[in-house]
Amino acid sequence: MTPILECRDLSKSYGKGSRPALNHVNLKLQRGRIIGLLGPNGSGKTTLIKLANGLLSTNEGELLVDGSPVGIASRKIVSYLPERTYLNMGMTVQEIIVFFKDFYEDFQEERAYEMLSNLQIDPSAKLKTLSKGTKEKVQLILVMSRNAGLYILDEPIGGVDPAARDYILNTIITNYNENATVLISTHLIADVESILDEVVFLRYGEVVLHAPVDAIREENGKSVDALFREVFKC
Amino acid sequence: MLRKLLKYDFKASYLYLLVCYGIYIVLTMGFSLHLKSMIYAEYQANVYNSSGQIPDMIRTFATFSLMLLWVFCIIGLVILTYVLIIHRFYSNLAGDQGYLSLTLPVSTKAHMLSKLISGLIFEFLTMLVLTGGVFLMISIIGEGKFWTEFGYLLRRLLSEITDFFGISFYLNAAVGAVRGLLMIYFSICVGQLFQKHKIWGSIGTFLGLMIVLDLLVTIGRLVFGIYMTMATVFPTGGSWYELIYNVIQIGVYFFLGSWILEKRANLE
Amino acid sequence: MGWIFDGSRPIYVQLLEQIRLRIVCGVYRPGEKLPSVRELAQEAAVNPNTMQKALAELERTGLIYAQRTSGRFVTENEKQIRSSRLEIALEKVEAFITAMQELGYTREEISALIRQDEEACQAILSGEAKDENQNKQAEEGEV
Repeated sequence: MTPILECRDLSKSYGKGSRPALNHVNLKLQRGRIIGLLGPNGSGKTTLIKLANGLLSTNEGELLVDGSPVGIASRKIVSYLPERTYLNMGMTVQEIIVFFKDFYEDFQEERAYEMLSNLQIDPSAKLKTLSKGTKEKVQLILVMSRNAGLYILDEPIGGVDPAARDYILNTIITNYNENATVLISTHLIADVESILDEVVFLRYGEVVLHAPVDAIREENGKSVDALFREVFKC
Repeated sequence: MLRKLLKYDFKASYLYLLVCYGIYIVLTMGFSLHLKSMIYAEYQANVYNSSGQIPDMIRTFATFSLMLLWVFCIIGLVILTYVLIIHRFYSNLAGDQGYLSLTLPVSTKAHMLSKLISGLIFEFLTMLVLTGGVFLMISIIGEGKFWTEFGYLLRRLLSEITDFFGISFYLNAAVGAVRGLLMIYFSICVGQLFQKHKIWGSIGTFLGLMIVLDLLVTIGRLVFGIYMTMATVFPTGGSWYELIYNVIQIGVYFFLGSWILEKRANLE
Repeated sequence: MGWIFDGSRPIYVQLLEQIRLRIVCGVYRPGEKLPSVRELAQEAAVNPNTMQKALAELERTGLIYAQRTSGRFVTENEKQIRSSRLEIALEKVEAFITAMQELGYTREEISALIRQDEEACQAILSGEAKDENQNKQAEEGEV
């Protein structure tokens, strides 16, 4: 079966002479997994994610989503949550739901409204009137309300309170299906460790480890979080 | 998909424009009524030979400031239209919103086309409203006489549009408008390729393009004797050169701009 | 009964243990249908694949069984549940004894402590018992 995401000798640098943000990365992500993309700041996590969404262009090598290069076809199956707010703040939550429904065939409106009511977010509110944490929740709801093949979540739990974090992780567990892969980039490993199948450690733009969580625990006798702290000790 | 994109491009800006059109129309009406009363007062003063110096000065001052306000409003409306068009393109495709727009399952050509069509329509609307304002003023001051004049003007315009000169004139104007807008969009796309100072990169690209194109036109005129400005040389065929020159630019801006957004995206 | 995981061992092993505990405690009764993998995963806030693995392991031990269409059930074999319970009890006792031995108590002292035998406790407190123990060890060493 084709991997849902594949990097072949992928490199990216932001200008000549600067240290590459990604350095000859080879990576295959299979379907039906929840995968943690871990690494300290500047290790290349966001660069990799932007490349997978076509928001940056590669310097070398290739990146394939479901076997083909990034393009309209890949955008249909990738549901992407960036690490910033990307919505038009003048719109209401309702309007933005209509927007998603307009452009994504796999968008499930009922699911979105259900999650909004669970998190007690008023659908008629204008986005600019919402708090930063609530905006983030709205974005996550939009992204998770799609029946996508690959969810790419860049720091999904960074700015929200613990209760919302639990709800978000729960949402990820419930909404993903056997054919979907969820790629979560985060530095809050302890919080997500129990929901991950496998982890990818990035350092200086290179993959230093790609293994199942339980295998790491079995081999090292310690949690991924503890191992991460050891590997990336300052 | 284009229809959906257009829907959101209109939704994003139309309200601001409507409000400004409203302000302009109200101001035009106020100014016109004032002018009319001035003319009437002057007429009366002439008839009855009564002159009040101080009220006249106040009136003159009021007229002057109203006119200034009106002119500023016209300039403001033009600037605002372009600010809205450029802001929409920049924020929607090159700013944070680009994270959503550029990850939609839509081709970048559709994005370009949608921005082009909506921008042209906004430009056209502003032009229409500005012209309408002038007509409104004339009609208020001139009252009944205006409408007979207006009918004449309209007939003249229609006959002009349908003759060869008219067609080529308006075709060139339309193509020129498309070219102008695409040149701005293209400059923003190129500005994205810069690692830092993307806005300055866009402005620099735009100015650079202007200089290079001006140079080309000058060379064309001096070396090959090709005149671009049709007003002076028509109907010797100069406008055809302009048309071709603009169409080539449109093609380059449109396709290269879309290609940059698609293949060389560089969002911060 | 909450789901708590420690960092040192695979999560699926811990899930397996905690489900087994729920079965022997009667939270899930013999013959009862278990919640679906997804529900269990959600409840425990773990990855559904990990939960799946834990349940598959439990199936192998026979404590639960799967019916092709209707899901997973706790075994009706009460003897097996009792033996699991005993197994857990022995594991816990073993762990307890190990911990006590690390504190320096002998098996006899531990059983005295469990019985809350006052005399023995006094003896331990005064150190006599320990001496006896050491003598005994010394003798054993000589032999």
